[in-house]
Amino acid sequence: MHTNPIEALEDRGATYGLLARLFNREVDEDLLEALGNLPLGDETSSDAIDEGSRLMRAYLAEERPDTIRELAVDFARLFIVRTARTANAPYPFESVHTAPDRTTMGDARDRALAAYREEGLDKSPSWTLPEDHVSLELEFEQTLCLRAAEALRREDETEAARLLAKQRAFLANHLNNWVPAFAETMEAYARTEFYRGLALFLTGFLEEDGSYLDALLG
Amino acid sequence: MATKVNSTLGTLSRRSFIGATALGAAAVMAGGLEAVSPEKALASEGDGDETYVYTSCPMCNQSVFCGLKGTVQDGKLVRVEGNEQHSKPKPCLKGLTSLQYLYDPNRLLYPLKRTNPAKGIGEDPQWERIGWDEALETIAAEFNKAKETYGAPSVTFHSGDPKEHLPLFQRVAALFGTPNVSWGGAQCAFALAMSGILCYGATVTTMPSPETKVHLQWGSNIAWSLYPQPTAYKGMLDAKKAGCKYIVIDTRMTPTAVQLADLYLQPRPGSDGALALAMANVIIEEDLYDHEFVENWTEGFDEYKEYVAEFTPEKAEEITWVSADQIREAARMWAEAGQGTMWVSPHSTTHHSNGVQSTRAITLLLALMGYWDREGCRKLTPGVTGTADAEFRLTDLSGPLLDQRAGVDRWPVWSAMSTYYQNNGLLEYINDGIIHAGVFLGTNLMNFPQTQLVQEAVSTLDFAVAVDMHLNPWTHDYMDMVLPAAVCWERVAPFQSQPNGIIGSQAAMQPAGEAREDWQFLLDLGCALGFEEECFHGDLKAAMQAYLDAGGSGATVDDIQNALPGVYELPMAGEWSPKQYEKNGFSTPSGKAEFKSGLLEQLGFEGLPVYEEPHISPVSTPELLEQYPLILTTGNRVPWYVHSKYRHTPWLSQFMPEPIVNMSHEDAEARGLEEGDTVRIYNQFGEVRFKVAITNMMHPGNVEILHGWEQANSCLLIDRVFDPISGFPTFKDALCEIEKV
Repeated sequence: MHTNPIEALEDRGATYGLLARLFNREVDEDLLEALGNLPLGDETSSDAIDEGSRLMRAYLAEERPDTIRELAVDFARLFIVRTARTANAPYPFESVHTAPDRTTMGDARDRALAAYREEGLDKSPSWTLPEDHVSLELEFEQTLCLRAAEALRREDETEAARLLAKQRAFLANHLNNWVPAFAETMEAYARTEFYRGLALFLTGFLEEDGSYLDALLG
Repeated sequence: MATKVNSTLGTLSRRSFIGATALGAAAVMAGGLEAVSPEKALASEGDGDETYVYTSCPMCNQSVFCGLKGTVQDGKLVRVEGNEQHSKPKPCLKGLTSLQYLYDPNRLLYPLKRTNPAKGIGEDPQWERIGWDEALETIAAEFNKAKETYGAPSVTFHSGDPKEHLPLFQRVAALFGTPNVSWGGAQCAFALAMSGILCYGATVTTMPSPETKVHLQWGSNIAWSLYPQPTAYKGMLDAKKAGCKYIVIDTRMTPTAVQLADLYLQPRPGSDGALALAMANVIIEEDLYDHEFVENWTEGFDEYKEYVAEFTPEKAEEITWVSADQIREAARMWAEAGQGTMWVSPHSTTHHSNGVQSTRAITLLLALMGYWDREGCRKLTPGVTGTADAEFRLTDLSGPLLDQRAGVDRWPVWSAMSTYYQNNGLLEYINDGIIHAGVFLGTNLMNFPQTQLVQEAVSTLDFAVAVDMHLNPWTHDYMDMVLPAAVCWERVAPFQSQPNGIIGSQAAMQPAGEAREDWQFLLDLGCALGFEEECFHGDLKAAMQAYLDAGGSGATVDDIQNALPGVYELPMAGEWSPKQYEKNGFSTPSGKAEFKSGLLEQLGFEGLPVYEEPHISPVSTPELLEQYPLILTTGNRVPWYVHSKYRHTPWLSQFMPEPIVNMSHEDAEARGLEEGDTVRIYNQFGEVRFKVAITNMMHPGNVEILHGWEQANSCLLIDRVFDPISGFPTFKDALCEIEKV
């Protein structure tokens, strides 16, 4: 239980950050090691989170000759390998789920980008995909959390409240509107328990965070 | 509200966080976002900075593209229109769809490496993403290993439909030392060119001009097909209004036939040569031919006259399904006009085992009438100067290697007339141990008859890397690596030729993901292979400048870009004057237009345009006809698809979402078939599933299917027999039966 609101914000931010990283690219050696140190599987308020993290932990605990490669192949299969006729896949872009003709760079991308810019953020030069990728949207939430924590540290409660309201709106309008369907497909297609677990975890966490922010802000 | 936040935060009793702070915030900054300046932040207020970008459309991949203008807002392409200053200013639906194609979520965006070492039909490659550095290092190591073990020619530089990369492709291949470079002309376009060049030393097909009195449109549905694009068809309609007569000869009653024809003839597929010879028969018999031209400027007329005497209209009627009366009428309409042009499809009459000879018979109707290099006829107009690229392609390096090409003996005429190798033999070249590795740019293995054999053969290569915009399992499952190609809005090379100069291209954005434009990839490949200097250390602009320098125009890359949206004009080589052959002759062995081809005879073939039945036909294979009574033709064109592309691009695929077989109502009724029925189309090779479309376009006894359907590959039904002169596949020589599933 968090009694310290700054800690709560930092932990939410760190969770968003971890998720953002896991969807940004493949797991590398450093991250694999760090994941091993996470208290995954500890009980939370959400069954989906618990099931997801249990699966991830079970995967990480198992011995195998080349975890990095196996995870990389699964990552590629989920998010990169498409054929021209692929129709039902875990596309990690909001526009693909919300645009009528299922293309990238739709209205959702424009609005997500506008949201980032309102907070003085934009995609980094190394990011060469559309801005409504789930990884960026999660990273945005992470940044808002960390900034809200900063605001509280300097006792700027007005700013913290503003940032939290922004978080709630973005979560509803740009994550929970499409990610559950995306994650469901991801869970069906993933071949490693790690990415299956991650899909469940993602859905669970976003749902919980939505409830949390609703309770917080009324 | 703020107070509430603070107090509420303290009272929530259930923990929903995983303690991710254990990782530390720094460890998990994904790095996708960064802080930007306030000015840029304010851009979100919808000021919508619009910029325009100009490029040339490659959606159909012909060698002269149409002009496109893109509107870019905030890094996003929001609208596509034509470029009015381009020689082809009106894009078709495919060009407009380049916007949807750019944002196709299924594009290949990253280099992929196979992790499953087993290759073959049914094996899942289990792709892993890799970086470009690793990709290029691997390719270079593998190609150099093949070179050391088997020699440089063991590595093929293979192209499918794309042509924009060819000058640089040839350059890198020349540096590497392999003469086994191929292009899509091996299945399309070049056999038609050969047919004309064998007779006249030049290509012959052209659109009617305002002075043209008769135009012969043979086997080509310009109203629908890709080259030239829609404005050319409008020119044909205008010519018709101005009084040009049209003779349309096509196995199918197409929109072109219906709109243009004053006279429409519908021959049996593959019998075109007999029909053309019969028209010649009439023209000679009735003494309608141009004596002056024939007697002074042609070679072999006496033997030709003797040969065509056999092809009376009555005899031709038996062979071709076209009535003798119609044949006479067509011949007279052609001969009496005084000046005429012809357009023969680059890929219909030549897709038979008798392709080149049949097409020669057609083109020689020009010589018979002297319809050459004068008003209203095919004009050999001087082109622009300053665009020669032989030096860039390093022909001085590749020239001495040409004798080492695969297929030189199998297809001597192709090999004599082209510097590419005839890639239809790829299956045998691999199985015979000639080719061991390759790069396959824009390649589609469904292009090859008996595709499954080629897929198996490619699986046995030591190393194969493909370059493409999509991952296509029917080709890429057999590769070791696939690399992502940028699409047209993301690239700047190459230039496009225009009638009066060169036009440039601009990129609207950086390529998505890690896609790379073909010219950049090829420079990088050349560098990785050890040719850094000759490949400009990977500097694309320097390469493009070198390309311009080879032409000698003095233009810079910036000159050409700065001229956009207009053309960078170049001086013309001169002015046209009629009948230049009177001064220069023809570029043939005899110096004249050849009814009897000296080169063909030299290489062991009949010099006259002799007619032979297609190797599979109701006449040549009556025993097959009993089981498979329908003539099957494949490889036609529709406006919304190009080969295997766009089957899943919504703006285009809406017009033909499923494979359909076009058939006459007679053939349908005889089999109890109705519109929309699912049928199996089968012959001695295999079967494919299509849905019935009943149309009056098809002659009873002839059905057609489009090629390039992943789930219904027409090449499963086509034999591995090739035109001995061109090496072309016989996509239109097949028989089949159809029954309801």
